[in-house]
Amino acid sequence: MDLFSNLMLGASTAFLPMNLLYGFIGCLLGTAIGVLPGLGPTATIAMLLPITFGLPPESALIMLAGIFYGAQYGGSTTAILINLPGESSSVVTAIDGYQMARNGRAGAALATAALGSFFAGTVATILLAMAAPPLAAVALKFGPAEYFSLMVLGLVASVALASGSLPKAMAMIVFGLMLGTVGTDVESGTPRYVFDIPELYDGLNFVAVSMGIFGICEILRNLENEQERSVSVKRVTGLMLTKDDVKRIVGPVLRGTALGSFLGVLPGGGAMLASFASYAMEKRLSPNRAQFGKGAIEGVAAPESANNAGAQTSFIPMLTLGIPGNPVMALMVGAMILQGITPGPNVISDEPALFWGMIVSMWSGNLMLVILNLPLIGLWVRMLTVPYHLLFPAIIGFCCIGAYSINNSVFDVFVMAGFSFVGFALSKLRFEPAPLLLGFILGPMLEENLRRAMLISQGDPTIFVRSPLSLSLLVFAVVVLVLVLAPGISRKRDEAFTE
Amino acid sequence: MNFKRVMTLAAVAAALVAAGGGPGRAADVYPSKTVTVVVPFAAGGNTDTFGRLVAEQLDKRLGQRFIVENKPGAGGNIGLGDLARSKPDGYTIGMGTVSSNAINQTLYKTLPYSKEKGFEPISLIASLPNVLVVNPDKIKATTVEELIAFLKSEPGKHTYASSGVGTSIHLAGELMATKTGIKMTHVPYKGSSQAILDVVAGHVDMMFDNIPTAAQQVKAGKVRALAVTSLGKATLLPDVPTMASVIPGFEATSWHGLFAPPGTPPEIVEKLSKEVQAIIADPAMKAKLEAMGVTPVGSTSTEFKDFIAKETAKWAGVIQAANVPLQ
Amino acid sequence: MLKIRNSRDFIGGLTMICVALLFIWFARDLTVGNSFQMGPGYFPVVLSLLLIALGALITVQSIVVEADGSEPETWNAKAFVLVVLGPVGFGLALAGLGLAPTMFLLIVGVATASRYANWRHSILLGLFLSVCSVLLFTRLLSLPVAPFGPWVPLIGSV
Repeated sequence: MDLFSNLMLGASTAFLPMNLLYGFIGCLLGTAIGVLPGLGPTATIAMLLPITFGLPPESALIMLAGIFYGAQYGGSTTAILINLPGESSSVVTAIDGYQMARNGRAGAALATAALGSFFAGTVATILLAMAAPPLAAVALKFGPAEYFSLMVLGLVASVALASGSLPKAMAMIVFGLMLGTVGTDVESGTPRYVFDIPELYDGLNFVAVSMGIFGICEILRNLENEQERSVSVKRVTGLMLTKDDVKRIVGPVLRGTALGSFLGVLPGGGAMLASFASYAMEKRLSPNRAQFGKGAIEGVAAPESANNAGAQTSFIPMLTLGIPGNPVMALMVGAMILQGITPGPNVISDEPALFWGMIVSMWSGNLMLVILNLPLIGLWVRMLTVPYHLLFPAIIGFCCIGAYSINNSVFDVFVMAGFSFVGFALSKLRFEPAPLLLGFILGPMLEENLRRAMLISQGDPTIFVRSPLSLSLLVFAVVVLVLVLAPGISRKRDEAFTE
Repeated sequence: MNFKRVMTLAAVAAALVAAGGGPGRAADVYPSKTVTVVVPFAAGGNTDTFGRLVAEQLDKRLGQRFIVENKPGAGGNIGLGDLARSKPDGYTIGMGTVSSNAINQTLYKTLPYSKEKGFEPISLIASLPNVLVVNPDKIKATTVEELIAFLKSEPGKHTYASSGVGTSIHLAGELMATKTGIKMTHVPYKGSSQAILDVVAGHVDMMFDNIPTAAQQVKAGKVRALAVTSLGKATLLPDVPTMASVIPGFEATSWHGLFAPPGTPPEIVEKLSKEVQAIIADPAMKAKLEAMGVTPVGSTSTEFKDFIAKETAKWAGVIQAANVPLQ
Repeated sequence: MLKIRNSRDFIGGLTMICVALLFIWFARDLTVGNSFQMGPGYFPVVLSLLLIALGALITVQSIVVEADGSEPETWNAKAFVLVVLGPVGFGLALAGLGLAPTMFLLIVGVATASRYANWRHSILLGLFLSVCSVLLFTRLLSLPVAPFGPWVPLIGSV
C-alpha cells in the first residue's frame, strides 16, 4: 500500500536516533519554557528558533515541532494550575481546569489534558497522513464570506461559555469585540484608538491582555480572600484518573478530536475556534451540565483534545499548500526557508522524506510528550503546595518577563498591568472574563472577513447566503442561538452562584 | 597521562585568554565589544533572515559578537525608533526595508524618529522581486498586455489582494494602476500568506507577491505568473518577463539593508559597508541568497543613500496618486 | 420610588454604557460609512450601540429582578495597588536597572502584598528568581535585556 510505504519512509527519517533525540529535546525545552507563566507557544518558539538554525532541515523541523507541542502543553498546564492560559486555545481549558485544581483535582485535570491530547494527536496525525490534500481543498473553499459565517457561529457558541447572566455574557463578548478594533484598520489602513502610541498600531496583544485579565487578576482575588484560600484549595486527591473520570471523558475526547481535526485545517484561528466550540458542545450534551464552570472534567477533556487535534491538522495548509495558517506555522515556514526549502504545494513530491518524516515525527512527538509529562504531573501538582505568599510573586515576575518577551518591549507589560485592573473591576461587578477574551480574539477576524466579503462582492450582502457553505453555517448559528436563548428566557439564571 | 591532558587544557585556556584579551589592547579599533543588530520585524521573517545571515558573517570577520535583537511592531517603526535613539557609536546598527525606510516616511504622519535626520545607510543587502500572479480560472490573460486590456474593459470589477494597506505589495498594484489608468478593487489582508491563499482559492483575482513563496505556487500551477517587478529577470522564474518590458521603468522590489543611527562616525559606517559588501560578494553567500530567490546587492553608503532618496520619492508619488490614507 | 435590587449589576450596566460612550467619543474622527460601504468607524460604533443596549438591559434588570443573595465584599487595597503597580514599576525600571535588580525589587515589593509575607523569605525568593531569570532569559534565551543596566554604577552595561 502506498500509504504504508510512505509512512515507512517517514519512519526511516523520524526514527533516526538523532532525530528522535532532537524531537525529545524540543519537547523538553518547549515544556520547560512553555510552562513558565506568560510564555505561550508563539513566544517560546520565537525564542528557541535560533537554536535550530545550525541543524539539518529534517532535524530542525522535527525539533521545532517538538517545541511547539511542548509549549502548547506547557500553556495548558499553567491554565489549569494558576488560571493563566498561555495561548488563545487554552482560554477554555482554564475555565474548568482551574476549578478542578482548586478542588484538589489538578492531577486529574493535567492527566486528562495529556491523555486527551495524545489521543487527539494520534488520530489527527493519521488523518493528516491519509487525507491531507483533500482536507486542504476544503480549506480553500473557505473564502471571506464563509469565514464570516463561521465566526458568527463561533460568537454565538461562545455565549454558552458563560454560566451566569446572559445579557452580561453578551455585554462581555461585545466589549471584547470592541477591544479587538484597537489598532490599524486592515481595510483602510486608518489607525483606531491608538492615541499616537506606535505600539498600539498592531492592536492589543492577546497574551498581555489574557495574562492581565486572567492570571494577575486571579492573584488579586486570591490575595483578597487570603485566609480563606487555604481552605478553598482542597487537599490534592489522587493524581490519576478514576474509573468514573475515564468514563466521563471518552465522549468529550472523541467529539473534541473530530471537531478539532476539522476546524484545525482552516487557516487563521481554526484550532482556537475548535477548542471552545467543543466546550460549548459538551456543555449542551453532557449529563453533568450543572458542573460546567465549577470543575467539570469534560470541560478539560473536550477543549484539550480539540486543541491538540487542531494543532496537528493546522500543519495541513502549510505542508500541502505552502501557506502558513497561524503565527506558529509562519515561524516554521521562516525556519524552512532559512534551511533552503521553500514550502509550496510540491513539498510532498519534492521532499518526500521531509514531509513523511514530519508526519511520523508528529506522532512520535506526541508520544514523547505524554511520556515526559505524565511523570511530571506529580511535580506540577506539588508546586501548588508551595505557600502562596512565595508562589504569587514568582508568577508576577514571570508574567512581567513573559509580557516583555512578546515584542521585546515593556509596552506589553503596561498593557498587562492595565488589564489586570480591568479584569479586577469586571470580576467585582461579576462579569465573566472568558467571553470577553473570545470576543477579543474573534473580533478582528469577524470584522476583516465581513468587510472583505463586502469588498469582493462590491457591496452586495447576498454573498453570505449565496454560498451554500456560508448559508448553512449561518443557519446553524441561528439554531444554536435559539437553543441558547430558550432556557435563558424561561429559567431564572443562577447569577450569584457562578463564582 | 592525566597531567599531560591538564597541561594541554591549561595551554588552550591560556591561548583563549590571550586571544580574548587581544582586542582590549586595541580598544580604539572598532569593534571592540558586542554589536547589537536591531531587526524591526519578528523572528522568522525575511528581514530577520537576512539580518541573521549578515550578522553571522560580520561576527566571523570582525571577531566580535553581532547579536540580532528583534523589535517588531508598527511596520518597523518601533525598532527603528529604538535604533534612532541609541548611541551613534557603531555598537547598535539595524535592518531596514523598503517599507520601513522609504514608504513609511510618506505613509505615516509622524514617526518615532526624525524624518529629516533619518539614518546613516550602511549597505543594501538583498532585493526581493515581486511577481504578478493571477488565478488562472478567474483571469484568462496570459500576458500583462492582455491583462491590462481586460481590466480596462471591465473597470472596477476585479480584485487584487495585498499584505496590507501601504505595503510594497499593495503599492506595486497601485503603481500598475496609476501607470496604466486601470481600475481594480484593492483587498487588503494581514500579511501575505492569507492573501495568496485567497488568490489560489479564487476568492480574489490577482496579487503581487514576494517571489520565494509565490514561485512555489506558480511551479505547482496554482496561479499563473504574468510578470516580475524587478528590472531584470528573476532567477527563480527565468521564463517570466519583467513588468518593465510592458510598462517602461516599472520597478517595485522589496529591499532590505543595513543602517546606523544618525550621527554614527563615517569611518565606522565605511568599515561596516565594506565588510557587508565583501560578505555579499562571497560566492557561498551569493549562492545561498539566490537559492532563496533573492538578488544579493551590496552597495556603498552613498549609493544606498541615493537609492533610498529615489525610492522614497517614487513611493510618495504613488501614495499621493492613489490617495492612500495616511496613518 | 425606584428601588435598586441588585446594586452590583446596576453599576455594571452603567459602566458598560460609559465604556460604549467612550468608544463612540474616540471614534468621532473615523469614517463610519454604511452597511454596504463600511468605513473604519462602522464596526466600533455599531458595537458600541449594541453595548449601550445591553448595558441598559442589565441596568433595568438590576432594578426589576431581585439579586439571589450576595457574598460579602472584601477589599484589600494594599494588595491591589502593589500587584497592579508592580508590573508598571518593572516596565519603567527594566531598561535602566537591568533584569536582576528590577526582578529583585519586583518580587520583594509585591511579596509584601500578602499578609503572610516575611522579609527574610521575600529577599531570598527575590535573589533566587533574579539569578534564575538572568541565567534563563539573558544567558540561555538571549532576551535583549542586560542583567545590570546603566543606572547600576560600576557593573551596569549600556
